[in-house]
Amino acid sequence: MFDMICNTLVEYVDVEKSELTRDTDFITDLHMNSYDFVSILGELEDTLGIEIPDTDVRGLRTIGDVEDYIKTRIA
Amino acid sequence: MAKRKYFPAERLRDLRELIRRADRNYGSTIAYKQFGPKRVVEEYTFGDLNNDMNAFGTQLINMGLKDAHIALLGESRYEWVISYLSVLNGVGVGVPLDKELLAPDLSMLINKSECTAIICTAAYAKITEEILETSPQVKAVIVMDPRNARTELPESFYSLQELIERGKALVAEGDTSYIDAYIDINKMTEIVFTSGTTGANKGVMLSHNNLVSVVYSCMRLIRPGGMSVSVLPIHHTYECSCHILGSIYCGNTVCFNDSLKRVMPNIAFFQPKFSIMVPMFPEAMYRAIKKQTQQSKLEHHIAYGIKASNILRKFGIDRRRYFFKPIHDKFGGNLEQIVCGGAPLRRDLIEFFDNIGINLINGYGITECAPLVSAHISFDVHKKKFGSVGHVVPGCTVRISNKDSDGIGDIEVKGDNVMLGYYKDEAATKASFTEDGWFITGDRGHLDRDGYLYLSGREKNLIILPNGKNVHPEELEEIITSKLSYVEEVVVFAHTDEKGEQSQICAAFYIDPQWFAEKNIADSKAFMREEIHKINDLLPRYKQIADVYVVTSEFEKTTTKKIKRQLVEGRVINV
Repeated sequence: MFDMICNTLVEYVDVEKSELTRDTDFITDLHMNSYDFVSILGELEDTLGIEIPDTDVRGLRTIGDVEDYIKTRIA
Repeated sequence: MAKRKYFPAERLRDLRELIRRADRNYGSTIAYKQFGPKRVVEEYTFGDLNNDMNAFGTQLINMGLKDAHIALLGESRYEWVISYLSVLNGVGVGVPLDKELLAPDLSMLINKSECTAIICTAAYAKITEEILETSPQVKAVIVMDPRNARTELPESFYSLQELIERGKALVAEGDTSYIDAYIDINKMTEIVFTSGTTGANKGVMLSHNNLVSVVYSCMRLIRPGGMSVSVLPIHHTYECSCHILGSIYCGNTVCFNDSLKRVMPNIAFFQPKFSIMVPMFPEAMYRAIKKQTQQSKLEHHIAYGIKASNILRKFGIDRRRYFFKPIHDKFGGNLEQIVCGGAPLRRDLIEFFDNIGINLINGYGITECAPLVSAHISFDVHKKKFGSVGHVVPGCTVRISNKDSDGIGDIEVKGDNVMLGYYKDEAATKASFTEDGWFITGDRGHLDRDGYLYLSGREKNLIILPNGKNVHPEELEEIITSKLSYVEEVVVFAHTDEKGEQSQICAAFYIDPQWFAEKNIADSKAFMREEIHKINDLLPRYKQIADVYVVTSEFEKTTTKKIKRQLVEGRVINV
C-alpha cells in the first residue's frame, strides 16, 4: 500500500521515491498544492475502488495518514 | 477609442425574472447535470428549476422563514442552486458559506450575519450539528440531499425534497405568497463574506440589481456555447454570479463536478465547451499535457504543429482542433473556452492554450463588485491584449486615481454591480468608498487608450494563490503568535517563483537562539516544522503553511518599527 501511494505521488511531485516515508507531510515536506493532493487521492480511489469523501480529506496530512485511512476503508 | 462590439443581451429586473425567462425560453432544456447514487447522471431542466424554486420558496415562507437570513453550506449541486434562488427570490437573505471553513469560523459567520436557518448538504450535516452548539439562534436546518447521508441525520433536520413536495401542494392550492412576493431590487438579498482575517471577515451586501447587472455584463462579453462544467466553489460570487446565473440566462447546461479529486475525469466525461476556472486548473492541465507529450516523445511534433497551425491561421485557416485532437480528447473533445480569473494568469499559458485551440479568457473581479469588473471578450483573440485583465464591462466604470509617474494608480469602480456596503459595518463601508461615491478596490493598475485594464499590484500584503484564494498574512501571523508564545517575530509570505507567481505559503520566524539553546533544540528549522503542524491543524487547507524559515536576528524594520516585508523572502532564501 505504501509503495502504491508513493508510485502515485512521484507522478505529481518531483521527488525520489526513496526520500518518502510514512511521516512525509504533503504540505510541509512536498509543498503540494491542494489540487494536486486531491488528484492523487482521486487516482487512489480509482485504483482501489474505494471512496474518500471530501470531508475526510482534511485529516490526511502525511503518507502514513493516507495509508492508514485507506486500510480502514478497504477493511 | 475604437468602437467596441459586444454580444446583444437583455437587462433583466431581478433574478426571479431571470428564472421565469429561462423557463419560457428553454423550459425543456437540461439546465443541470450531476452525479447521483452509483454515479448515475441526474438531469434537471429549466422548467424543473422554476417549479422547484417556487415550491421550496413557498414552503419556506409557510415555515415562518419570511425575511430570514439563511445560510447555505455544501458542495455544488442542483439543490444548492434551488436553495439559493428560492431564498433570494422572495423569502429572505441568502448567506452562501465557504465549505472549507471549520465549525468555529462558520458559526462566527452565521452569527455575524444573523442567520436563523441553515440549508446544508448531507456531507456537512455533522459540522452543522457542531455549529448549532454555538449558534443557538438557528431554528431550522434543511438537508439538501438526505439520501447521501452516511450516518443518521437528527430527526429535527428537514429534507429539502419533502419540503419541495409540501410546497408544490401549497402552490397547487393557490398559495402565491412566494410567487407574487415583491422584490425590492435595491435591497440586500445576499451577504457574501470576504476572505478576510477571521473575525474581521466583512459581509458584502449584494442586491438583485447588483447580480442582474453582472449577468448582463457577462452575457455581453462571453458566449459559453451550450455545455459547461462547474468546478469552482459555488458559494463564491465568481462561480455563482458569472457561471450559474449567466448560464441560466443563456440556457447553458451546467454539469457539476462532484469532487476536486475528479475534475479532469469529469471534464472528459461531460465533454463541455466551456468552463470558469482559476489559474490552478489550466496550470494543472498544461502540466498534464506537457508530461504526456514528454513521455510519448511528441514534444517536437507539438511544437512543429503549433508553428504550422499559426502560419495557417495568418491565412484565415484554423486547423487547431484537428492538429491537436489528441490533446482536446483528454478534455472531452469540445472544450473551446475557459474564463480564468481570481489570480494572475501567466501569459505563456494563455498563448499555449490559444495555440492549441482553447481560448483562455482572463478577467478581473472583486466580491464587492458582484464580482465582475473586466474581462476579455469571447473569441476576440485578435484584440486580446496580453497582460491585461480585459475590457471594463458594460454598465461599470473604472477610474484610476492617485496616478504615479507611470500612470499607475488606485483602481476605483462605479456601477450597478457595486455592493450596497458591508453588513452592519458602517465604518468599513465608509472607508471603502471615496467621497464622491467610487468603490476603492485596493488594487493598483492602469487603463490603456482602448479601455483595457492592467493590474499592477494588490493591497498591501495580500497573498493571492493560483487557486484564486486570498490569504491575509496578518491573520496567520496573529494565530502563530497567539499559539506559539516563544516566537518573537513572524512574517508570513508566499514564495514567489521565477515566473513571478505566488505559490506556497511560508513563515519566517525570529526566535531568540538562546531559547533553542535552553531547550536543547539543535535543529531549529526541524523543530519549527513540527510546531507549524499545530497551526496548520487550525486552518483550512488552502491557508496551511508549507515551509518555515528561522533567522537568528530580528527582521529589518522601518523607522516606525514595521517589519520590511518585502525584504524577508530574499533574506530567508539566502540563509
